[in-house]
Amino acid sequence: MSTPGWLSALSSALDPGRYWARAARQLETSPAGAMVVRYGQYAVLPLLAIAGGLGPSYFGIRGTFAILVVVMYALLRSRSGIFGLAVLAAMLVYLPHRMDTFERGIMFDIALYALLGIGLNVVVGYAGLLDLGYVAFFASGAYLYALVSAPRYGGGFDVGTSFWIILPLAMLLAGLMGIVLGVPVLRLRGDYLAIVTLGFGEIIRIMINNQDGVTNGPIGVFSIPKPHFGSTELSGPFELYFVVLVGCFVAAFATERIRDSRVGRAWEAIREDEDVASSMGVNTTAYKLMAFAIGAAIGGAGGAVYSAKQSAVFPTDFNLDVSINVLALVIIGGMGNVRGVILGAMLLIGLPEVLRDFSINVAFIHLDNLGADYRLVIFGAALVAVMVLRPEGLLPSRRRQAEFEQAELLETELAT
Amino acid sequence: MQEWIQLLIDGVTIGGVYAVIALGYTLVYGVLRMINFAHGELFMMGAFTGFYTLTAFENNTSLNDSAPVLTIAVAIMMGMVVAVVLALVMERVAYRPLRRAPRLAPLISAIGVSILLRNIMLRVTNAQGKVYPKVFPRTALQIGEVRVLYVQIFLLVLSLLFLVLLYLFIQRTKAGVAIRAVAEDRDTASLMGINVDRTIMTTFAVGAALAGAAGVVYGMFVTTATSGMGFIPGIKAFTAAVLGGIGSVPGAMAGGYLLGITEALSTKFFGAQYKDVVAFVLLVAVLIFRPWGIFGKREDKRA
Amino acid sequence: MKMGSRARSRMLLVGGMLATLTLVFAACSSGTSSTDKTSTAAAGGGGKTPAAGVTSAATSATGSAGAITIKKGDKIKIGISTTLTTDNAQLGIPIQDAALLAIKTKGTIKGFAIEGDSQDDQCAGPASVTAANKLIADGVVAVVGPMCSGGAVAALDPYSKANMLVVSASATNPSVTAQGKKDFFRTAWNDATQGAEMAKYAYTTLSKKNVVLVNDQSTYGKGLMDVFKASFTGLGGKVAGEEAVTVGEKDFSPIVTKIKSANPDMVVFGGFIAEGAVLVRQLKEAGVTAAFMGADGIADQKFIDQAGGAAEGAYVSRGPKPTDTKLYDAFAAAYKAAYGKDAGQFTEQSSDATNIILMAIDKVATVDGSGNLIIDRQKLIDAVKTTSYAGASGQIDFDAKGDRKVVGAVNEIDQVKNGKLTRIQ
Repeated sequence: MSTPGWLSALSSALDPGRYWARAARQLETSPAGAMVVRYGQYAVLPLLAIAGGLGPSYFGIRGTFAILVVVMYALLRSRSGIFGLAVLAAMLVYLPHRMDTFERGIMFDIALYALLGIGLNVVVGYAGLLDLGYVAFFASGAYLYALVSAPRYGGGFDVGTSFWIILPLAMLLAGLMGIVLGVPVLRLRGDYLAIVTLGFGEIIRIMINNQDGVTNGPIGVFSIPKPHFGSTELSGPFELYFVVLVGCFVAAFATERIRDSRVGRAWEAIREDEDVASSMGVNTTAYKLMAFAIGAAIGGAGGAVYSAKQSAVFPTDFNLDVSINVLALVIIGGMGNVRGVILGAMLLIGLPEVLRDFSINVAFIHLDNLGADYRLVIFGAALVAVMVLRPEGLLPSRRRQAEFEQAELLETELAT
Repeated sequence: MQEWIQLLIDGVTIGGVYAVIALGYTLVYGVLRMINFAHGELFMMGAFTGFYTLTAFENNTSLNDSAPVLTIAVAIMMGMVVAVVLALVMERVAYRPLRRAPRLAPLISAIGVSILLRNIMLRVTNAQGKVYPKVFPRTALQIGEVRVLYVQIFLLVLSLLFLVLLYLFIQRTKAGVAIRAVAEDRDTASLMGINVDRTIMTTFAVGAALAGAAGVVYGMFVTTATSGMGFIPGIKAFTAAVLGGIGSVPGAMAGGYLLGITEALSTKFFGAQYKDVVAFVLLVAVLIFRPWGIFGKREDKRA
Repeated sequence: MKMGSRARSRMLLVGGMLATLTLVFAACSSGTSSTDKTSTAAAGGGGKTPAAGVTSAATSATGSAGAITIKKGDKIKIGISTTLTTDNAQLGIPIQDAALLAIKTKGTIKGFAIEGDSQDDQCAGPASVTAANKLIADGVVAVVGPMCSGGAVAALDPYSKANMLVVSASATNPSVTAQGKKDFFRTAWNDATQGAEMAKYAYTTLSKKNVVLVNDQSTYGKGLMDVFKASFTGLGGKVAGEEAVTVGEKDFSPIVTKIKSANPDMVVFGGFIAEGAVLVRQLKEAGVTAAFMGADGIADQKFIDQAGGAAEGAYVSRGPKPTDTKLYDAFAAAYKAAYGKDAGQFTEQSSDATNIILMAIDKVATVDGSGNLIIDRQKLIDAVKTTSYAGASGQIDFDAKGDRKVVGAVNEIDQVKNGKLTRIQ
């Protein structure tokens, strides 16, 4: 017994990607139409440049953002995938210049969560290991940079090293932690793995909170210095946003390359069926630890930049909610797929901010500040909805899509 | 010496709560091989139901003073009803469609339900705790230096009662047999004529009723209900279920009490801030060295 | 599936585009990014644009870190960063209300109306930073808040970059001023002072020699208890134990048991209302006879209510009050008249903070030829630095770090008598 028919129909009806694809197919039936579809794609970029320029005046920055997310999603779902990426690039690089402080802060958050998502994607999406304690790696990177560079009165050790030296160290430390935390859970699967990793995340937070001598405990570490790029100080969310953006790109490139290599194939085998994989001679231990380490290293990098941007970190910043947020955006966006992760970050971090002041006043339903106050309610509902209606996520990798379509086909065959 | 006894009593109190919640986890895991991440939230909803019921009595009648036994009984029943209804809706909407989906899907769906319930209540209460009206007298039984609140004794006794009743239910009733059958082998049970869907619903309902009732009584013990109060106990209860052997009812009981006592005693040595760390370390240790738990069977060693 | 080389060339293409775009836009925008921090919602600036039900915050004030210009006919906005949700809203909402009352009482400055802009900072670092960014984007002239110490430490980063005047009524941890941000002041005492005052009272006046400290693992609570410990042991007292509770937990039985066997004269608590109420109740139920003392975090009627009668006799250290209570009484009466409730903890400090800001704006604001109001941010900060104000919480002067000087007020100690906070010092 699967999802009710009306619900599936509704979700298909609301999916812009389907319309785009269908429209493209219909157009292609005529020779003129085929030309439009084929070459029209190249017009996308200049059109969007214009939209990006004029949009903010008519719809506001946030309206433009929301519209571009939808357009990008439609493009990525259809065959114009590469131009979807172009829209993405344009949006991410250009829009922040038009934004105010608050919106820039939000863009930073989106980029940071996207980076964390790319890291978690390696663990959950590629290797199939459900990690609910990802925040531990984020925290270790953040605290490393914080403790090393903050002045004495801020709780740090004032070593005075450059951010760019500490960044790779943070990645190394986090990677090592990934291995250390991965060893005890090698034999665990699914639900058990989830709970234990959750526990690890909490343990790290509690340790940070209580080892006052080292971490300054609940008082936190503050006055963390900003990084410098040459002679410019990268002082705010705007400058550091571009650092994270570059990081996202590098991480995405690197992880996708690894996925397409032998390591990635081993991960896929482990994800599909670990017992079969190990009996075929795949060294599951090594590959699982590698997945943890790589994912953790990316998380650590994100943590270091976070520390630099916030200039003050507290143990309460690294609670379970962060792990759950990252997991949610990976799942909802599309597991095993970087574009999905980025879409997930935009939707889950960006859209609630767009809706921050949005209110609903319909009949007796009176809800204020939808984005700010009801964000998590919507998260929870969205998680359930995506799982029930579309478990592969909004932008699944092509392989996943095929897998799920297979499974659905099989299901309908069995039912009839 | 007195301090040890007091700590023991504290541990057994919270242990009983963990045990009752753990029962729900273990039952659902047995039939669905799935951890209902949102089970702790049923406990929380029970506590809120208790609050709203008792407050309604307080504001509109004087029954809280004249007939506390009645009002408390009604509150507990309402807690059970609300929890059961929620659990059935949960099962139907968030879990049943995913029965044949890859194993990550129902887990994430459960996480979603947990977040949803917690944050709905957060909004409803505007993130402030609700204080129970005074119904159960806060007097205590004192033996030497050791002091036990009567409401605490009530919680202890109720937990034990539930555990015994559930055990009898599983072992002696027809529905209980059905649950055990489905837990053992779902397809064969269905071939033998057992209505699997209905059995699963019953399992959810029973587990939920227990959690809801425990929520009401725990709420009376700590006199407040907050939206986050089910989450950590939920995770600890899962730890307890694993400790005792997931899928085993006596296991859940043993695990719950063991965890509660360990926590209370560890406060003496490590301080209260490490309480959660102790629980998780215990979980990891069990999963590494004896993954089938105290009462579990050796072959069932993984998810 | 041979995706290798195709995927690679794709990535290169995208990478190339990304790099080119970055360079192009970096070149184009270098002239415009730093000063243009306003969001233009519709042609002509100001007002909200209705589009698909999404509204964007519009700013009617334009300006950078140098000076803020308020166009003729627009209002002067004062930002209020406080906790509007979570349990600490019990303290946070009155802070907002007191500030709004002070704004309303002032009325206008040089013919311009004043209004408050409240943002929820949730008593946490990241949320306070988001609130700060929102207030900066909204073009406020100055900010009352943030409410909590941890939040203040983090939020001062964006605030000081925007050279925003920030006066907090309640962020008390020493770390906030230790950062050395020049635009921050507080009308609450640094906890280094508060903790010392508490220790002095406990040791000297109440003759308690043996205490157990409990903190709630927050920046405020832990910081306060650390100061108390240092002062108390300095005076000759003994700290028999230090415990920590977790915010949100409802059952402190094991800690209570430990305290009982340590048998102190007094239990001192650093933390907020919810945990304080649970602790004092469970202590009483366990038969602990030691006295209980808390600080401004629990100084509210809700603490007494939630403890259900167990709070009777507890001491609460509330912070600075004027030696001559006339000004405070006048404030309390006005607050009660406006809101129908008693003036709670921090309200007088919030009112003082707001008034100090408004006075400074009055002093430095100038009206230009077109009738716009110009306020130079640095001049505003300098004006506050030299302020000497007789407020509802006492005489307020600021030291070089932005802390409120200790002289000019006494530490108020209350005791819970008959279910109400009653002043005894």
